[in-house]
Amino acid sequence: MTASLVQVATNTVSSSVSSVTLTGINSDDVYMVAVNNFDVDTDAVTSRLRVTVSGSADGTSNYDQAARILFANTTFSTSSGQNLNRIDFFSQGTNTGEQSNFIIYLYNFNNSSEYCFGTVETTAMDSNARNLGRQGGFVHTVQQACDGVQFSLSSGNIISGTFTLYKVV
Amino acid sequence: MSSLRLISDTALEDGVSTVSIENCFSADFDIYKITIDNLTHNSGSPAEIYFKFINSSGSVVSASNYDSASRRMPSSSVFGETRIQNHTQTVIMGYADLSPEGSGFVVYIFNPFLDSSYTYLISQNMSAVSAGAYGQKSIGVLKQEASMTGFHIMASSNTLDSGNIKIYGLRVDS
Repeated sequence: MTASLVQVATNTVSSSVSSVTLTGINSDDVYMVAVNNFDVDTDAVTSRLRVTVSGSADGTSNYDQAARILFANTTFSTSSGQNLNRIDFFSQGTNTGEQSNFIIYLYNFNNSSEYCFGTVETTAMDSNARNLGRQGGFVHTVQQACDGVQFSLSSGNIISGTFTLYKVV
Repeated sequence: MSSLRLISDTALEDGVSTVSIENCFSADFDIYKITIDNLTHNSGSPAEIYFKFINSSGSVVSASNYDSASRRMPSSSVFGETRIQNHTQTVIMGYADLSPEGSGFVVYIFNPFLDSSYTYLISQNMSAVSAGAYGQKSIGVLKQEASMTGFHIMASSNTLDSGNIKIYGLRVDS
């Protein structure tokens, strides 16, 4: 059987919201999150992600992450951290074209005996009008079942974007 | 039905240096996945592969509006970085070489048809060239708030021998 994607949840933002939550992970399949046109109402705020447990974002300090940041205008950099209370992506802006897009794969979310893992690929224009991309991943070091993810900001609101959770079958 | 919808399936013609997939982006989807496999070249010297977009007028966009960056990961030497701004095409996204040293890509395109947004891409490639291997992780953006309807692949030298290009749309049902 050819692998396919099954839509589990989606949210298209049409008015300001402080966060977007996608839930519905209830099987041991790999899941994928696709985001496009993610835009904000406040300049230079950081986009971030948390896993959700029973629909609520888990803000405990159990996130480890690592990524290579690609820049179209300057030397690439590295981002890493342990025991964080969220995954931070980059500084989002409000000028023309300053939007972000993501492909995130989620692993082991439904397994209460395992950690939750994610791989992240992004491309965006940040608040300094730089094309950048984040290539890396994260792990939430708690043995618990997680049912989704939440996107939020360091401040301000999300004003546009389509956020969709798929199951890979 | 899968939310990953096949839109086009193109077998590359032998002896071309560019490939245009026209009218593959539409209002039906905002995110596209492109797979390219078995991309080979007719010469023993590897060709660099670049991407461009095609606008709604059917023209390949060659304006100096591409920003792009790539992490190059060779199997036999140090890793490298490539970056450009305000250029007429993306950076090198991968290579094509003489069979069996082929190349494969997975590319995501975001917002191509939206004329209120820039068009973004993420690319992942593995190429076998000159008895070695190159992996590439790349990003890019076409800084035009304009509708793109197609995708254009260029080889830097000589011609391409083979390649299979599939374009999928990621369906979103509200």
